[in-house]
Amino acid sequence: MPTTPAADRLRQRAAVLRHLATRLQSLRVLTSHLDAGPDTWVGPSPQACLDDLRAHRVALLHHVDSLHAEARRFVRLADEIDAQAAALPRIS
Amino acid sequence: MALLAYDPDGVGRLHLSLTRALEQLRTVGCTDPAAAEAMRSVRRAASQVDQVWLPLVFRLLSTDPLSSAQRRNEHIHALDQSLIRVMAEGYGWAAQHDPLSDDVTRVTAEEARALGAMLNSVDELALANDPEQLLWLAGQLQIIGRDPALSSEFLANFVNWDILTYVLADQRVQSYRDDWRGNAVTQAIDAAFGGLMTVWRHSLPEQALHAGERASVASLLPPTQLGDPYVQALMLRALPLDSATLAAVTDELLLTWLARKHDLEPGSSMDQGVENGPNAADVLLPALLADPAAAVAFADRAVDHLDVLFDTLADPGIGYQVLLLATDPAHTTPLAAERVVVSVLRYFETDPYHPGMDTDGYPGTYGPFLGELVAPWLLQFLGSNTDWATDPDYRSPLLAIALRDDEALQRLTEATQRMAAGFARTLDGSSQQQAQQIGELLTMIGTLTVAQQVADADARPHAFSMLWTIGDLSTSLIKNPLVGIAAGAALGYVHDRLDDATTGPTAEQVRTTGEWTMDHVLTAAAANCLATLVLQWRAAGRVGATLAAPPTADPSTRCPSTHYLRDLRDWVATLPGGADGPLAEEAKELVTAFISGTSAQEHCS
Repeated sequence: MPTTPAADRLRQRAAVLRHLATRLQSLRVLTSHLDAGPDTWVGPSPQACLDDLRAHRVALLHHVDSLHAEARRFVRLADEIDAQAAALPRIS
Repeated sequence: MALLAYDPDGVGRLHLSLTRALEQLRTVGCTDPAAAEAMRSVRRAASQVDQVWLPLVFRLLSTDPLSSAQRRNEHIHALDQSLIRVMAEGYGWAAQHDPLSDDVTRVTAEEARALGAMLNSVDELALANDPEQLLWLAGQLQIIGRDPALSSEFLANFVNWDILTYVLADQRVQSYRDDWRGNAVTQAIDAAFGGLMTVWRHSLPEQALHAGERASVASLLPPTQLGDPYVQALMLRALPLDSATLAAVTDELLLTWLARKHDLEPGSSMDQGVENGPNAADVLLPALLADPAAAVAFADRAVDHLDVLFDTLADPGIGYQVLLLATDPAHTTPLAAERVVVSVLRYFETDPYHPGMDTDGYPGTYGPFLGELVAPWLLQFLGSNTDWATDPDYRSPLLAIALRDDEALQRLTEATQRMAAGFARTLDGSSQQQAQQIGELLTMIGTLTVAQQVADADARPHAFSMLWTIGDLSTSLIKNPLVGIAAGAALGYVHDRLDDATTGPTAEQVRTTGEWTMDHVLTAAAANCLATLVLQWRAAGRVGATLAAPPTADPSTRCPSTHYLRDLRDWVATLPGGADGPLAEEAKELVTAFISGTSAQEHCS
C-alpha cells in the first residue's frame, strides 16, 4: 500500500521518539543512585543527593514510557491516514 | 552545621559515575516537540549533577577530612550525629562538614540503626540532663515508631534498655526535688519514654496489648534486669493498652511497689523515700482516669487490697478520682459499685491513716471523698433496696462511716450531680414505690445525721443542708411528675431556717431542733407529693373541681407532721369513696412513705 507524505512524517517522528527513549533508557544517570547510597556516604547532603538521583531516574523512566506511547500513537495515526488515502477514489 | 561521613573510595567511584552520567546527559538531544518534556528532564538532571552533586563530591575528595579533635568539637557524640559517628568511628570513614542541615522530619533505616547503636553507648546521665537532646530523641523515636520496619531497625540495634531507662527515670525523680511540678527535664524525659515505647510496641504481638486479665507487666516491657517499678510505670503508661490490660498491669505493678515499700519483697523502687514528686502510682494511675472502663476493672481488682490506692500515692487525690470514676453510675453497675463502695467504707471504718499507715506523700483528707463516693448510691443503702447484696442491717452503719465527717457531709451536699445520676438510675416502680424509697432515704439520712452529727457544732450546717439537698433533689427526680413541682418553694423555706434550727447551746437542744428540721423536710416532701397527686386525679377526672385542696405543711408549727397527719385524716374523708376508699388509700400510702412514725416524729410528738 502506498504511503502519504503526512503518514511518512509521523512515522519518522515515531522513530525519533523511539530512538530518544532508547537513549534515555541506557543513560548512566539511571544507575548513579546505586553509587550514592549509604554504602558510600551518609549525612543530610548524601541523603539529598540519593533522593535527587532517584527522582531523576523515576522521571526519565516515565519519559521513556511516554515517548514509546507517543511513538505508537504516531504510527497508528499514520496507518489511519494511509488507509483513508487508499479508500479515496483514484483519479485516472 | 551538620556533618557527613563517607567512604573515600566509594565517593571516588561516585565521582566517576556522576562524571560519566553528565557526559552522557549532555549528548542527548531531540528537537521533536513531542520530546520537549523529556528533554527538560534531561537538562534538569544534567544541571543538578553538574552544579550541585559533582562539586560536592569533588570538594570531599579535595579537602582533608576532619581530624578526631575537630570531630569532637563538632559534637559528633551528640545523638543527632549518631549515624555520622557510627560510620566514622565504627567503620573508619572520613567526616566533613555538610553544607545542608539534617531534615529532622525524616529518618532513614541507617539513621534508625545508628540511633539505636548510639543509645547503647551514650552518656546516659548527660542525656538525661539535656532537654534539647531528649526532645530531639523523642521526635526521632516518634517518627521511627510510625514505621514498623524502621522500628525493627532501631530495636535490632538498641540493647541498652536497662541503663538508659533507669537513668532517665532516676533523673525524672530528681527533677521534682525543688518543685512539685517538675521542670523542663521532666517533660523531655516523659517524651523520650513515650518515643521509646512507641517503637517498642512494634515488637509486641497484638494480643499482648489486649491480654486483659491475663496480662502481666513482664509480657509487655523490654527485658530488663533491674525491674524497677517506677521505670516500669513510666513505660507502661506509654503503651496503648486496652482497658482490662491496663487495669491488670497497673494492679500488678502497684502490688509489687507496695510489697517493696513494706520490705515484703526484695528490691526497692527508686521513687520510694523521696520526699517530693510523684511516685509510680502517681505516674500510672492517672492513665485510668482517661479510661473509665479501665478504672472500673482496676477498682474491681483492687477491692481486696485497697492499699494499692490508699497506701501508695504521693497525691491521694488521684486514687479518690479513680474510685469516683469507677463507681460513677454512668460507667458501672450497682453490684460492681457495691463491691467497691462497701470495701472502701470498711477500709475507712477505722481511720487507716492514724496511726501506722501513710501514703508516700501526704495522708490526704478522705472525708470529702467518702461523701462523694456514696452520693450516687444512697438509695442502695436502704434496707428495702434489692440492688445490693449487703446485709440490709449493715447498710445504715456503713453509710454512717461516710457521714461521720463534716467535710464528707459538705461534699455530699455539693455532689448533687452524682446524687442525681444515682437517683435517676435507681428510682423505679410506681410513684408510690418511688416516694417510699425517697421517704425511707430521707428518714435514714435524717436519723443518721441527727444521731451522729448534732453534737458536732462544725458539722451541723452540713448535716442539715445535706438533708435539704437530698429532699429537694429526690422529690424533683422521681420520674413520675407526681412530686417536685412545689418542692423547691416548700423545702427552700426549711432550708432558709436551717441556721436558726441548728444553733443550740446543748447537744440535746440541737438534737431537738435537728429532729424538727427533719420533720419539716419529710412533711414538706409528703405534702408536695400529695398536691401533685391531686392534680393528676383532677386531670384524669377521678375527682371533681370542687374537691378541697389537700393539706399543706405548716412551717410555723414545731412538729408539722403531727398537724399534717391530722389534717390529712380530715381531708381524705372528703374524697370520693370516703376515708377508706381507693383514693384515700392511695393518698395515705403516699404520705406514709415520708412520714410514718420515724424517730424524729416520735420525738417531735
